[in-house]
Amino acid sequence: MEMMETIRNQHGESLREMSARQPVLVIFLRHYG
Amino acid sequence: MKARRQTIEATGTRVAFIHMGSEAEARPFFARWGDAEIARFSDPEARLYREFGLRRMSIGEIFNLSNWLTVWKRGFEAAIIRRFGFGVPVGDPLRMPGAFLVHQGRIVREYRHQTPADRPDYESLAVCEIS
Repeated sequence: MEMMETIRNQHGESLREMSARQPVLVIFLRHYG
Repeated sequence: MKARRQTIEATGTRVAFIHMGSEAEARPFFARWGDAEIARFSDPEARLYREFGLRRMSIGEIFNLSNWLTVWKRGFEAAIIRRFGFGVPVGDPLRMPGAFLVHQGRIVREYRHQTPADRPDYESLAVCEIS
């Protein structure tokens, strides 16, 4: 799960860091617009 | 969107979106949906999608008429009935969506769409029994 550490959100936080303290519901979008 | 996020986050679970556009493209979209502050990850190369096993649709799925009728119905509801209008799609319409509950870097629950039009029960999925 390398990308959980590599890719960061708009606040500079990785998914691994976000989920370290509390669970995170991660929703993958197909497309938007 | 914001009200549903707040309902889920009241249970102790945060919410984050993964999308295939740039942050500049995503910012106005999430603002229009009423939740400009929600955590979101820009993944134009779909690296997180692949890491979570979210594949592209097969040829059979692409040409499955019943799938597309449901997808168009959902699009019509969003664009016309809910008045979000039409725009140029950002992302990969052939990449399957999905929803996962992640805790301490591990997937603890998951919902893998059978068709792009599936509507997961996000509130139930967000309940983490090990936290």
